[in-house]
Amino acid sequence: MSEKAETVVKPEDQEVGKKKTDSSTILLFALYGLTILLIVLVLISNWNA
Amino acid sequence: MKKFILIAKKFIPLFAIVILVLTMVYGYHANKMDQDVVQGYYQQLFPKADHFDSISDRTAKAIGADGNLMAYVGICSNVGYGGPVMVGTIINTTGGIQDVVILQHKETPSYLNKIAQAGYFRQYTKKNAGDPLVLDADIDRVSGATLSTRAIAKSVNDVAHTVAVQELNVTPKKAEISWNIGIKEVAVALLFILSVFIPRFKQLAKYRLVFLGLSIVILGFWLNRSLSMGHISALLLGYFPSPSENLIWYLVLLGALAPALITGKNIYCAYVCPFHGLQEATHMISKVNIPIGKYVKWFHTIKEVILFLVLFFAFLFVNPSCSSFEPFGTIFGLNGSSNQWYLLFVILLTSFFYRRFWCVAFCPVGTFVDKVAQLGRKIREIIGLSSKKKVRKVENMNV
Repeated sequence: MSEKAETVVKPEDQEVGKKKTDSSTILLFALYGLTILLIVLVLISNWNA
Repeated sequence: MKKFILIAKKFIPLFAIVILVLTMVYGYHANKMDQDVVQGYYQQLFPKADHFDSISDRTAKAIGADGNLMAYVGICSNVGYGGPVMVGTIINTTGGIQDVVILQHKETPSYLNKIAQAGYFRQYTKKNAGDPLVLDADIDRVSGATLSTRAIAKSVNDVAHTVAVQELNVTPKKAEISWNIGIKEVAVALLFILSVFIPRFKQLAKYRLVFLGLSIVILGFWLNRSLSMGHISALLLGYFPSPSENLIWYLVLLGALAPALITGKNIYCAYVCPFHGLQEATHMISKVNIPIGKYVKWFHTIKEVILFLVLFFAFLFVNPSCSSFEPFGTIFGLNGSSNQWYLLFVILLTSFFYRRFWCVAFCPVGTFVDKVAQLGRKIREIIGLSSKKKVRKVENMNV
């Protein structure tokens, strides 16, 4: 019973899992922000053309 | 508080529509040229004149310091590839066209250079005000810049025929314009007809990606005519090109919006949009799929704000393409500024990790077609063609 509990609750695994979620969120928002920035630059260059 | 938020949510779309209508009215009013601006353009066109006597609101007689008629001048604006092109025309006292000048435009400079280098403007100096002055009839188009050359020809035609009728007592010759129906128009029509039937048959629906591939070839790289916000803003602003000369423009608009309105489903995005197809292709190559998860709803709301802003600025400046930023023309027309190429690169790179990232997070065209489909579902519900339960099921599928 206790062995099973140890395999299920592994704090280091939980940390790794949490880190994975965080990095994918950071990647998503970094790409999202970069795209928004480029859209603004496209609009500015269209306006100045 | 919750009740207030629910009521506010219900009224936000109505509020947005009211703002857009008011912006359109303001835009038309603010962009209306007063006579001082028109006189300024005349002066720019024909600086030798002492003053200008109006023939109509956009045409005038250029009068010299001695009081003699020097020429006729006129300005007119029609929509080209990037927006309205303001063209000035000078006609001599005997009715011959003396010069055609671009006064203001939003076209890509390389297109106008191409037109000038092809000798497009020179052909007008051999024409008279009473000639048909119609593209493909007595005026030659410049291939690769059809929309711009057509806009210029229409503007010259308008000014020249006003002068011919009102000042020279000449009845302008009419050009026989036949409907431009060729292999391109047939291919686009077939693509849209098939897109309506394919989702109805399970055996065919599994070939969706093959069909999207076909659309990448036809609507994308071959014709570069995918639906854009320029199309939608032009439609809402009332800029309609001649259907006999520009049938594909109507086929694309009708093919995307009519099925959405009739069936209540956004078929265009799933089965026809070539840029969607391109993202599916990059996603298939990478075989990586990071789920966007709970952020989908956020992106959905931001997309609606983006659509509102694109329409708001197009209406404010009465310019269909001023707020357009889609990368469709860059990839399919292989023509764009460095920023447009960077944007395209980032979008395609992102779609390697996140499936259809542009469609999910940014595309105002898809959001507009979704809104039309939503309107279609409401109409179906009101006239009793589908039950509320079924409508909600489709709405949930679309989110």
